[in-house]
Amino acid sequence: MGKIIGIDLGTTNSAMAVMEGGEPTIITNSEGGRTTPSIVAESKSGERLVGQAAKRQGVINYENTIFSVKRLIGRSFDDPEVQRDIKLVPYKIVKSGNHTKVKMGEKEYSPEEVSASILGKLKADAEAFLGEKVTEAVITVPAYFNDSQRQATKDAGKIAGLEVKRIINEPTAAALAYGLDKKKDEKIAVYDLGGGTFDVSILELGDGVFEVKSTNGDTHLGGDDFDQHIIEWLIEEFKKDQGVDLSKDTAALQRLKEEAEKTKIELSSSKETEINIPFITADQTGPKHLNIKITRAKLEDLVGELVKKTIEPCEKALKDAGLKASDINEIILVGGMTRMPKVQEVVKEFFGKEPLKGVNPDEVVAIGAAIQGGVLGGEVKDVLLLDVTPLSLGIETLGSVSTKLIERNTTVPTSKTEVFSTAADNQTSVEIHVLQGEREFATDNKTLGRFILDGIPPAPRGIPQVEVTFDIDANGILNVSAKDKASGKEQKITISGSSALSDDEVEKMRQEAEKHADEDKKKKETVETKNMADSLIYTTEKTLKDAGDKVKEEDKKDVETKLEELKRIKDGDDMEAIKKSYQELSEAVQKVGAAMYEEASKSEGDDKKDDKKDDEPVEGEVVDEDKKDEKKKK
Amino acid sequence: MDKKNDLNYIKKTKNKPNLKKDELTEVKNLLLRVRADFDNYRKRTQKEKELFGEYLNTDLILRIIPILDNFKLAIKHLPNELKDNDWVKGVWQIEKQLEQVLIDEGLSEIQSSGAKFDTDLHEAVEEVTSGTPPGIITEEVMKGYKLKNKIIRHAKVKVSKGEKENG
Repeated sequence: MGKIIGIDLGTTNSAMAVMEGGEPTIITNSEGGRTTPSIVAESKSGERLVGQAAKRQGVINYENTIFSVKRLIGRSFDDPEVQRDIKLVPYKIVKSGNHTKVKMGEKEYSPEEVSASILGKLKADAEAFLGEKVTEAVITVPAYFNDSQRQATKDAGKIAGLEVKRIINEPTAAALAYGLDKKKDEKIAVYDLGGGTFDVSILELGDGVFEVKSTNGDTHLGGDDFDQHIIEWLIEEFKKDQGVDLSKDTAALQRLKEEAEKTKIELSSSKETEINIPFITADQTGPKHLNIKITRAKLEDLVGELVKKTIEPCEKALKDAGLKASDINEIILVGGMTRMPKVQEVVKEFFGKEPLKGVNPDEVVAIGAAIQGGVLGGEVKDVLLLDVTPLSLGIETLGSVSTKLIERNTTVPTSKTEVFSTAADNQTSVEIHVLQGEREFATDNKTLGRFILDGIPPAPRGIPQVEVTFDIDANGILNVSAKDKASGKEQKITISGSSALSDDEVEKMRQEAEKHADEDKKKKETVETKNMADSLIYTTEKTLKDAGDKVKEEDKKDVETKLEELKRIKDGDDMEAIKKSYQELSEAVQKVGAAMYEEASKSEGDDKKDDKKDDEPVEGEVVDEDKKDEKKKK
Repeated sequence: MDKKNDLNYIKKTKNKPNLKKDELTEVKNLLLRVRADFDNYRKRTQKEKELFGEYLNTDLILRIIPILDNFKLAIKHLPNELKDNDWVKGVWQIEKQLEQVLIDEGLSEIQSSGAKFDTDLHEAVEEVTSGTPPGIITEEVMKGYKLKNKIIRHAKVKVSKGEKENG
């Protein structure tokens, strides 16, 4: 059985998603876009174009470029909305019996056929994306769509070769995307401000079923109006400043349009931005540049009336549902324009509650449709809810650093193996100190357990290989094992309830980590630098010993001086000095290594020694507390 | 007969996991599906990764292109009396330098002026009356660019609708 895809067939743009491994994923179109313009055209050469390609030629082929066909679907010719659109759109809307048709090229098409072209492209792109045939879909429609509009949408799917498993309401899809069906008896407001339309719906959830209590909106209000307001203001400002009217200059308008869109987005995250368009135009006096600073406050002033226009429909919708703003439990934002802080603020003010965020407002409807598709296809089941580890898990290594093996938010079941080594020569045991938490140092994290692996054959430090494995099963039970590869000796520990921390505890630990991130990082760097210095001192001494008299006396002297210098300063606090000294010694000892290599290039044995010289310090050597003390005594 | 005391029954139930048959089939199907999903996901991610590597710089280049455009505009508007000025020549050279960096990254211009309008390459911003045949681009309003084989910005163009107004 193939996949059931979810399609948000929008007035301006469409999007689609599918369940994959139990999670909804947006399907990108063949051009790589996450949304596709709901535009169909017959080009002058008679070719059928859909999406971006149709949009790009709209200006020169407006009679044959059909957009916003969703406003017409399932409506009779006499419908006031159709009559209104006839005056607004540049393509021809004609009467065909009692039905509405649009003219494209030589022929007339029903809105279903035009929508089918859009769905057909989406289907083909989904097949390319998924690498399999797609024959079934869930399609969303506005909550106010009547039976005839729903049927027509279903027919459009059929024409496109899709079996429409279900038609669901857009606000319901949005609620599904936020998992609200899992809650009980809630009242939900869905505020949908898209590219060209505004819808508000009041839903009531009971027994996992959504009922649309009321809807309202403005079929001709959206993001495009916002852009237009910004462009008009820029033209006005420029006229005031430079005395030139840009409104007739196509090239200038294009650049203004791009900047207006960019500005709108930029001012969603920053308080002020500069619109900078050099050489926007020229007159007898020479080239002219546009350079205008705009604050978020100014933008909000410019589009304030548009945002305000959404309030009345909200009031009406509430009234029709017989509810007060305070009765609403959840508010969902849909449509790209709801990213604007001003819009969020107005919504919050009206309903007296923070709206839900987290799902991309351009994609939330398609995602909800995909979830519905997953339920219908039997793919979405509660049994397979995957869990994640709330905090990172790791072990303590040299310098009491907490070395993470499993990062937080990893989906379980999972397992991870890493090889560690000893920190001192002839160290025969290592302690595995199992830690949980985000902090860089062992002492700041929570100890889950500890054990000792002994019986490691004596060897120089860094040589023994201790394989440490972390394994978390689906129930959150953590098994940690350590195995010495040489002797085959193994020790393990089982820790149950490693994720049994309460949400509060997890959150507290996470916040602590965030708070201390900088100082921890610095401290860790210090430890790492010292570890590196230690390691280099060790290998240098070994190299010198191995080299014996194969090294020129002067080279040896040089290394020895630098070695002493590093030894002298390595426990100090001047990191820069340690790093510099480390670098110098490293270079000097490399010279010695190279000389040795030349000398003994015929003998194989020395190759190995040479390799060792390059040996980077092992990142996470397991510390044995006793050995560490021993080393200090040395 | 009391099933609880039927030895055979107990033996049978003991050896069988406590799952109904259709439940088992369901879980099996689910497992297969998740595995298939994962496999497809892996393949797609691999493909995306390759593409990502190749087009890693796209976003950055898209932000640099307007600067190049503006440089070109500046030079287009260069007053005649300044054309031989050495300082101006230096700035000119900087423009060439910037352009060369982008070319080395695989950027190339889309040819527009005088070409036939093509939705794959161009975006029409206006239709104009002109002596050139209908459907031919009369003016490029904004340059279009390709990065290697991918169009990263369509050229914005004015297109001829022929000599006479036919609206």
